[in-house]
Amino acid sequence: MTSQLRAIHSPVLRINLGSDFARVRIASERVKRFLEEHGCDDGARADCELAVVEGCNNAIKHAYPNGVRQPVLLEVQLDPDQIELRIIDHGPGFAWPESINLPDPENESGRGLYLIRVLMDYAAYVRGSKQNTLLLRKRRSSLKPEVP
Amino acid sequence: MKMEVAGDTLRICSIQQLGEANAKAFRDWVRASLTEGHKNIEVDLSQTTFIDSSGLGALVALHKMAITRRGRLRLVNPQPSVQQILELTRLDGILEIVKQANS
Repeated sequence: MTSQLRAIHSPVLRINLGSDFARVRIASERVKRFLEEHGCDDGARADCELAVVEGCNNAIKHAYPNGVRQPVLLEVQLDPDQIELRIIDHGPGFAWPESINLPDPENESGRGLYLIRVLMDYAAYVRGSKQNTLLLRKRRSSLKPEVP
Repeated sequence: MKMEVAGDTLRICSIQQLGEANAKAFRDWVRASLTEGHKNIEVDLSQTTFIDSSGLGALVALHKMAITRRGRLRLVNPQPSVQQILELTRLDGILEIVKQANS
């Protein structure tokens, strides 16, 4: 599909989160409703809801380490067979780990990126000079993710 | 959220969500509420429809609080979506998950 055709036929939802954690959960619920309105199945909706929360919280936490607050943008694009989520920040970003494993069970943090990896079919962090994009893709009809 | 005491167990229920917005406050509230007589912590997850990595972190913190008191953390009746996240993160291996008829 050319980019023009994709723009016409693929519904898009855009949300500006500012750099406010309180907006993340509201945005994830909006995404879930958007996916429901367009016929995505329960499993895909729930997985995207959690991936959005983890990705956006991570962007707000780690993309702006110097205290400069710029907006985090969330885009959802629905293609015929897949959901594409883009979480865009304008900070220096962070190094996406080459391998994402579970932390020690007693650790109280470090499970966010792991959840993104296992819940999504595809995840990539594209670091640029002006903005960084966490790009996530999920089939619209999902099978339950398996415990790796 | 509601808290009640049953013998040596501190029980928390009516939790709608456990995420970034409330996980730290939840953990601190439980920690501050524990007295010398409490060994076990029971978290009723039957009404919890959403949990994220911050919420999981809070449960791990409660697990460690209970261990320190020679007690244990029990997660009661998690909904399937929450159970799935506990399994995906393999926390079902260290946290006790129980199904009760009347929680």
